[in-house]
Amino acid sequence: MTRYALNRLLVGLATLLVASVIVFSVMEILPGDPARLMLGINATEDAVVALRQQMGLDQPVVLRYLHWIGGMVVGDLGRSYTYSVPVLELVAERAAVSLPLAILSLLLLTVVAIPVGIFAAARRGSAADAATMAVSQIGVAIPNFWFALLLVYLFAVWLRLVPAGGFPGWSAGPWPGLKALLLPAVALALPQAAILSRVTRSAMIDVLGEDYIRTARAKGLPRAQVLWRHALRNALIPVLTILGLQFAYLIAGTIIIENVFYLPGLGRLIFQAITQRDLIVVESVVMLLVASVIIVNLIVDLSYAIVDPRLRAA
Amino acid sequence: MALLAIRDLGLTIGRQPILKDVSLAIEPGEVLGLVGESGSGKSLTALSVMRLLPHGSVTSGSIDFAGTEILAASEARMCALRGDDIGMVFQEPMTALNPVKTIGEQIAEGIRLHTGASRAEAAARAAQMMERVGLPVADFPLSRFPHQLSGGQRQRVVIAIACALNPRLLIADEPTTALDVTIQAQILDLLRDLVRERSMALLLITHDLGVVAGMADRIAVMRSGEILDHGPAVPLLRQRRHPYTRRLAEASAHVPTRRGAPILDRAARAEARRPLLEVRELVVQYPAARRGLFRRPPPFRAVRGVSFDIYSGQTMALVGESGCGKSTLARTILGLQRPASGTLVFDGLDIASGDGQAIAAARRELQIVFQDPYGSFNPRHRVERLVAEPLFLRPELGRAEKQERVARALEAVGLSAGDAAKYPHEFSGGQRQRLAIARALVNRPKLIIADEPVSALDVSIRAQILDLLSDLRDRFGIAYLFISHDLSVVRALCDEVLVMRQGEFVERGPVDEVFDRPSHPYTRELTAAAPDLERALAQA
Amino acid sequence: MSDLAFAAPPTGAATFLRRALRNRSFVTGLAITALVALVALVSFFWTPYDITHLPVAERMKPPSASNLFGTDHFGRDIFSMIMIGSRNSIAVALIAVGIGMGIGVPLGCAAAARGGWLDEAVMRFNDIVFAFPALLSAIMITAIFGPGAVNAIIAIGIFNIPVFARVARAGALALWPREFIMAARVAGKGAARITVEHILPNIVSLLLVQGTIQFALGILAEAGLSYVGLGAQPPMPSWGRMLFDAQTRMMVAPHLALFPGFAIVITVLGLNLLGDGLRDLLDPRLNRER
Repeated sequence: MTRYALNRLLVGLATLLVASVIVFSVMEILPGDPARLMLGINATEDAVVALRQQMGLDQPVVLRYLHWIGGMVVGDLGRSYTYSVPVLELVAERAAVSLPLAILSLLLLTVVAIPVGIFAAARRGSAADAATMAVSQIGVAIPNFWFALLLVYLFAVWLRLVPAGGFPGWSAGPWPGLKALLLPAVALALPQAAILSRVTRSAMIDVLGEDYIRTARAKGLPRAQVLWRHALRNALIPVLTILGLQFAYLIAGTIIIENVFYLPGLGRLIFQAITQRDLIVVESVVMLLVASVIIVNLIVDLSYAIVDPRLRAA
Repeated sequence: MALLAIRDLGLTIGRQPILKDVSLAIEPGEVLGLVGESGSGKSLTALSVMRLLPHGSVTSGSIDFAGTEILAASEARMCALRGDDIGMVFQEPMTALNPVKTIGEQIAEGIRLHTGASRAEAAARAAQMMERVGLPVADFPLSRFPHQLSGGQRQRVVIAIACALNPRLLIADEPTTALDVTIQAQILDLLRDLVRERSMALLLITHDLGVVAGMADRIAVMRSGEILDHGPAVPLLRQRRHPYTRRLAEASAHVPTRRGAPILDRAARAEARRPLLEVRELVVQYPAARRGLFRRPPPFRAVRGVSFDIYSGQTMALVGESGCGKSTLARTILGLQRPASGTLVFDGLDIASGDGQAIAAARRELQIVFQDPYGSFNPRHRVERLVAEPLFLRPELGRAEKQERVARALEAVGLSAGDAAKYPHEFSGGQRQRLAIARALVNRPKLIIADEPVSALDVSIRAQILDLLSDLRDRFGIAYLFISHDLSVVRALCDEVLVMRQGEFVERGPVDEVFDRPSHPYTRELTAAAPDLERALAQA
Repeated sequence: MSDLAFAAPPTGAATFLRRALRNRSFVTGLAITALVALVALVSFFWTPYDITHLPVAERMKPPSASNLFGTDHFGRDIFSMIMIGSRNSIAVALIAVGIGMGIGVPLGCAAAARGGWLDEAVMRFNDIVFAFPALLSAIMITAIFGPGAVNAIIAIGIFNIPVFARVARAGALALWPREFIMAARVAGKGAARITVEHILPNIVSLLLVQGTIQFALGILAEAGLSYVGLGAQPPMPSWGRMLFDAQTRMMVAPHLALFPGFAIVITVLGLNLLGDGLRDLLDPRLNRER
């Protein structure tokens, strides 16, 4: 167990390191001098040089990378060029919207997809199975932002049940905030749930064909018990793999969906930063999102070991 | 009154008829052997009794188990019977256990289900059962997972699950086919003892007449979904009244005729003949899996300094159990694996040095035939291209000559030149093995390594392939290195034998000498464990 | 091994066609995909209206006999816009699949053939690329080069590389220990030749199925990118951009958001059905009993 965990942890760290080099290099080759950008076109050459020095832009690349990554580790992300506030503050404020959104949709995704997949597999070949799979086939094909537009039209414009967009903040307690995040989370989660339910179904069907399922039936276990006690845990392994990959899609999805609902999250921040060429913000947010994908995949890898004893021994 | 009475059982799956008018009866405490080749319907007969048939199965007739009509019973009634009154052991111990549950949980599960025992009681009974099947809890705690056990040990767990509640009927479907012979003997002994001590009836399904001869009170012989012959075991096997039973018995004891005397090492040495293959102090090792970051244990030595010769025209057998290093040795001779040390000279060419040209030259004279007639061909290529593959080493041959050679190789193995345009899936298992031999022959090799070439085949097909191999040897003077775990096949075909264990030869010599008067304890164990129809009948 | 769909043994073209025509997913998927491809082709020669012409007086008309899907905020015919937009979606997704296959398949095959450090390197490369969702790559590329359809192609294409590398590697790894590969090695064939002669023909069906899936995902991703302004730029019509334009006007003219969305759903659905159908047709597990 520890050996496997240690191995995954090291691989995760290495991936994180390489990813940070990639993000840093991309920002390095960007055209434009941040110092000049901050000071405007009318700034004198001396002022630009002075600011470059102050920002450490005149140092060699390697030093600047080390400085940047070192800052990341201790939570110092630098200062935004345009907002002139610490990037950390900016990011923290926006993450308070994006993070709950991602978690909420991940929850919704799992809670909907896995039971539906198990249900369809248990009733394989029935009309209920066929109907579920037809709906999921369409669900897979729906772009989340279009689904979001339809939801807004239906629930906010027509039925007026929820606000069409915007975010009241968390200061008024959790309910108004959650209410504002509900539609976005549904829009993000359901198309992904369509994929996951199909994966769950086929994983369950594969497992139900295994020899040990027959052994369990030969013991006298009724079909339903075999499903829960023997099949489910084995089927979880492929399901977890897909769930890990889907988190990356959810992260990308939040960025888009925030634009549909006018949510002040990291997605909106990154687009504003791009148009204002506030590179340090772009860099930090991209790195943060990439890191979260890597960490979730690490968690998935570690949870394999909980599900599958063969990995614990390795 | 019979414990189990099957009357006129019919089964169709989809629209395909599988079983026709199968009638069988088992008395309490009786052992019935159900014998047949692959596809005879013997396993599906057993699954009908369990009512665990695949989707789309339609049954007719009647199966009466101690007064319950199984084909009409409710699913709840069947769940109560399964595991409690009828237990079942399957063929593949490697996949029969749930990999994510401990063996203790898996044995205790049935006990709790049927007796309502508490967790602790069930665990205690599971531990007793483990003890009984030869897995003392001190060495094999209930918290072990299946992947921590060997195949034989897993089969013991499966038996523990099946017998935990003293069922009145135990069904064992090819319970030892996937196991090595010495393990097979142990598992059969265990089953025999359990059945006797708990007065269970046993339905033993097997393809091996040697196995049933030593186990069964009565025997039923099946083919294509029908029972052809049945009766008390010993008379049925001795008198062989039914032609199919006779064919099976004769095929399993078949010895191909050898033209010319066997080639023995000591005679060849006396004549100072040069061996075709000379292996000296050969060591092959694999790097061990890394433990921790920097620590790497010493490499695993699969072959530990073996020496032997093969003379041209000689048939050398290599026997040993799975994992003993015989396949590694074969791969090394073929130049697919570099030895760590030792020499390997084939026809004057040094293969062990890793000299690419020597290996290429040697490979023209060196071929292989594999066990699995299904996996040994690229399903997308036609026979012509498949059989011609070794001719890659002879770019000097023209297209017409290559075609000619393929045609001649096909004819040599009893196929026709017209088969060249077909795909491998159009052939039966036995014919595919002929194709594999044709591929090995196309380069007119001096040595063919045959790695378990008949162990995946039914007995009647096996006899034909052995005849073919023997005939080719006599006609073309080919030498074989014949790798097998089946001693009867080795005795039928080979001149000399090497007995391998844990990477070393423990005994060697002419086949009859070694098998009739084994000197090493391991060889003795091996020969005693091998199921043998004649010996079993002699003892009966 | 059993969880991989390897190529079924070749049978006569006629038998395959008969089985294909009986497969409902395959037939529906093929029909939809062919229709979308046809629409894209026709759009090069003919559209109901000229979309470079902006009859502002006709703006945001609901669907009618003269404008089947209505008109947009510039008075352009939405049906014509969707026809031309299909070119962009198909081109981006198809080229991205090409990039993914062209780089990913050789990588995966090489990793399986060589093993050792190369295999490890390819796997780690996969890990790293998987950490950058296509949208994040697109954001970074756009930050450097500015927005455009090419960025979408590169971003989606990069994301496709590890997908194909993984599929090819898994397929090849399952084949390498097989006996017919060993027979080829005994015949003295090298890893590259064996890969071309024996591995590739047997993983083609796996790649084909994955190709249709990635094609469908590519259409979705392209729509997402152009929706947030990172894909094709106006005046080139794209389905995602049309939805962005529709969003602010949805209260007045909901049809603006309806038809481009349907176009995406139908195209992706068609490709997914085609992929499912292909998988059924090429999976030997389903037609082994013959």
